Formats: sequence, structure tokens, C-alpha cells
Amino acid sequence: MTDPILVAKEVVKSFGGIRAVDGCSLQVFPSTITALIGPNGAGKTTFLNIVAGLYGADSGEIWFDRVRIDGLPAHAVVRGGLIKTFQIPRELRNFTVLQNLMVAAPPGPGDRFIDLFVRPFAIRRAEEEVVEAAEAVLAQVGLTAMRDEYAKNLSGGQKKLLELARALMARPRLVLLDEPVAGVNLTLQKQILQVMEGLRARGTTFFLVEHDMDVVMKNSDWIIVMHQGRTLAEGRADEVKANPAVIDSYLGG
Amino acid sequence: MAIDNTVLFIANYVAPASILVIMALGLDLQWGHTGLFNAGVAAFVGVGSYTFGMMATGLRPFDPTYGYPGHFGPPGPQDLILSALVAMVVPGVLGVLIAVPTIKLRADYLAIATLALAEIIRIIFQNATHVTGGPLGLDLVPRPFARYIAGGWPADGFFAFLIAILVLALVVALEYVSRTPWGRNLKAVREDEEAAEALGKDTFRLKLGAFGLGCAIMGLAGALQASWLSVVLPESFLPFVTFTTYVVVILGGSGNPKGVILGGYLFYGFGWTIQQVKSQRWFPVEWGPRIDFLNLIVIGLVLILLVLFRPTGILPERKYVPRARAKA
Repeated sequence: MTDPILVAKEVVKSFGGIRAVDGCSLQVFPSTITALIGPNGAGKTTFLNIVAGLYGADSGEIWFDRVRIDGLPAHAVVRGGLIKTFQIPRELRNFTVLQNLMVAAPPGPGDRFIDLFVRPFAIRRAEEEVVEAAEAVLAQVGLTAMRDEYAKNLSGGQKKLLELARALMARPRLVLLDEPVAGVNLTLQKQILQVMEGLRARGTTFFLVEHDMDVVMKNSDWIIVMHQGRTLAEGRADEVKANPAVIDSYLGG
Repeated sequence: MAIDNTVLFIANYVAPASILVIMALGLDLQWGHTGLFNAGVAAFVGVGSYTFGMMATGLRPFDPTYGYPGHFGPPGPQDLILSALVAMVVPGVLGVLIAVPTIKLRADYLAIATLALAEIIRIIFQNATHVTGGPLGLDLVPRPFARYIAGGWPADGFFAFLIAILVLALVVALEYVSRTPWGRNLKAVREDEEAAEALGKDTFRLKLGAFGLGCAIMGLAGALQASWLSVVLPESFLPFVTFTTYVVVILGGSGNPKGVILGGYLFYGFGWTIQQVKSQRWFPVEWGPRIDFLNLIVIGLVLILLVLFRPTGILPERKYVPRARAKA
């Protein structure tokens, strides 16, 4: 069996008196779509935020591709190839859709202030490439028509697509998706899932939190169930569906 | 009107207006681009002014004949270009120092810290008598190329021209910076800092860079002001300066250097016109102070109307639409 791409060991995070994540350990394997499910308040979003470096864990370890990433700032984690989307889309409102994607491009010559005056031509060339890459991603997710629209003018579902597109723009190896299809109509859902499936075939790993059990059961290779801040069970869709503890705490009879 | 008066007339509008524009360009980088609320613009301009004045005139000892307390400085007068550079570096570093502990916190903390800094610095200007010249400040601050140009209208005209050129160069540079990935990253921080961080941007460094650079530009404005007026006085750096700079940025269009220029020249032009009207003696002399207050009222009113009906300013940020590159 291949090595896991993401390993969490005994991760703990408290907010005040609440232990939102309480000794959570799990593994995600490369080129899979792995789902993290569980009741509201189980600590799923908190856990994703810790992995992405947006929150610091109180204790525990997180390893991404054999590199320990807990304690690193979020931007450093992203540059390592791990990116997260937000549950509620966080589009840059006064940026166009294209600009939103361009921001997410991997670091280039124009990201350092000193380079602005030392290598202006390299920056211009790199920008042209970034525009091209962004257009390719827009085509992939079906947002080409919205290229020059301000992000604030998109519909809720389109903003979800934009979140996904922005994450892909960073050319990540692992994408954390926080409820990627919540509140999205079926056509758009299908589109999002198709994009994910296509990228997974080319080696990208997806780790998502989702409440839509239809989507989870049909599309994920592996399902991890979280309850009260720790993992309760994991397995293939049919295994999880049949697990009495999972039925009891989350799926219901 | 003779040539000398015409030049004086224009120079006395162009030079101070350009200095205001430069201050506003610095603030636009911090607030317009990056969303950093600097409530101490006056302090950074002031530190630039004093640094330039001290560098350019050199150490002055206590002078009992005139009762001048003396001021700090290098042993002798320094080169003006060097003085101006130091006058940018010192406020820039000061800005970074105040930003490091506060910029990681919520936006309000930076505002409070800079507001307090501005008052502390102004009180130091006023009271550190043997360092800053106290209430008498600095005087005899030279102008560039003064040796080659006759005093009076040629000197004023030339200096105004020089500053105008500088504004132009600065705007070209800032327009460019604004369109590069670095500039885009600053704006991403302004739009949503957490999202920018989650997209791989080192938001702390970006904010620090924008803040330091903005403060350095304000320092340059201070240096030019010292040179233009030839004196540096503590009361030139009241909180009103900060307020004025914000009005300029909001009026012109925050996030757009071209808009800031327009805002600066318009805003200064308004106050200047009122002064011209006053000097025409169309009104009784005792109306003078009333006209000054009227000026403030109108500015406040314009600001309220702008925020209500055109919050983006006269020249809003332009939409970025590059040519399509993908082959259809």
C-alpha cells in the first residue's frame, strides 16, 4: 500500500471550555476522494482549518507528504501543495473572477517587491502565463463566461465554483473542501464532482467535509466519520453505512 | 499680472498641493491598497520633515543671542538627496516598528497605535527642546539647487516644477506597482485577509511592506515640505493633517493613484480658492474667520455626500481586463 499523503496524530483543539477536536487521528491516501462526515459540531471544519494552518492545534501532529506542517503559517502550507476552500465562499469581492484566480497562482517573479523594479519583463511574461492558466481553469469549471465579472456579482453556486477554481489554480496535490456542494443545484453539483473526478484521475487528492450523504456515498473512495472531536469509524461507503455506531450518532435509522 | 506674480501664484498652489498629493499616495498604498488604517499620517510626515531639516542644516548648538535652544543633527549640513533618503528611511523604519506588534491583530489596533504615536511624536517635537528646537522648530532648511537659482519667484517656480515632476514619477511608479502581482496581493489582503492567507499569500509581510513603504513616501512629503517652507514647526503636524490626507484619498478614489492625484489637487485647490477670495476683500475683514470655518463645513459636507453617493471616489479603481489568451 502507498504511504498516506496526510497523517494527523492525536490532534487537539479547544475553544474556551469546548474541546472541538479531541485527539483526532486519521490518514488520507493519495489520489483518493476521502470524505469526512459527522454531526454538526463534531469538529470537522475546525479540523480542516487546523490542517490548512489557519488555526494552531493545541497538541498533536500533522504530516503532509512526510513533512510536518502543524505550526506552519497557512501561506507556507499552501505553497507546499495543500489548499483549502471555505465553507461559505470567501471570494475577493471587488476582484474580477479572473483576478480571483490569478491571486491563487503559485508564487512567481512578481510576488517579491524588489523584483518589481529588477525584473519587470519577467513579471510581464509570467503574468501572461498566469492569465492563460487561469483561463484554462475557468474553462475546466465552466466559469469562462464570468471571466471579467466582479466576484461579488456571482450567484451562490457560482461562488462555490469559484472557490474550487481558485484552489485548483494553486496546482495543489491535496485539496481540502469544506462542503463543496452545499446549497448548489444538481447540475452544478454534477459539474463540481466531474471536475474533482477528472483531477483525481490525474493524481490530485481530495479531502472533503460534506453533509450531502448521496454525494458522499456515491463519490468518495473512503469515508471517515467524526464524532465529538475524534474519529468514530472509517471505511468504504457500504461499510460505514452498515456501522451501528455511525447509524446511531449520525446517519440515523 | 506680471510674470513674477504669475509664477508665484501658480507655484504657491502647485508646491503645497503636490506635497499633499505625495502624502496621500503614501496613505493610498496603506489604506487604499492594503486596507491598513493609519491614523498617524501626521507623525510620519513630521518625522520626515524633522529628519530632513536636521540632516540638511546639521547640528545647531544652543544660541544665547537669539534664545534658540539648538537642535540635533549630523556635524555639518548634508547633501540634500542623502537627507531626503534618510528622511524616507527613518519614518519607514518607524512605521515597521509600530506595525510589527500591532499589524497581526485586528485592524483597529493599528489605528489606535498610530493615533497614539502621532500624539506622542508631536509632543516630543514640541518639548524635546534641545533635540528638535522645541516650539521654534528648525529654520533655514535649504532648497535643492539653491546656489544656481535666484531667490524669489524663480526659486519658488523651480521648486514647484521639481515637486510636480516628482509627483508624476511617483504616480507612474505606483500605477505600475499597483498592477503587478505584488500590488494585487496587497489588494487581496484588503478584500479578505484570511482568504488571501489561505491562497498562499504571506499577509504579514505584505502588510508590513505596504505600511513601511507608505510611511517612507509620507516622509518624502515631509522632507519636501521642510524644504519648501524652509522651516519645520511642531504645529504643522496636528491630527488635522491625517484627516486631510484621508479626505484626499476618499475624494479622488482609494486604490487608484491617478484618482489620488486628482483628489489632492482638487482638495487643495478648494482651500486655496477660498483664500484667494478672502484676499480680494469682497467681504468685510471680520468675515475672514467665518470663511475659514465655512471651508471646513463644506469639506465635511463633501465627504458625507461622497461616502453616501460615490464611495469609490471621483476616479474609482479600474477594472482589470487583460486580453483573452486562451485559444478559443
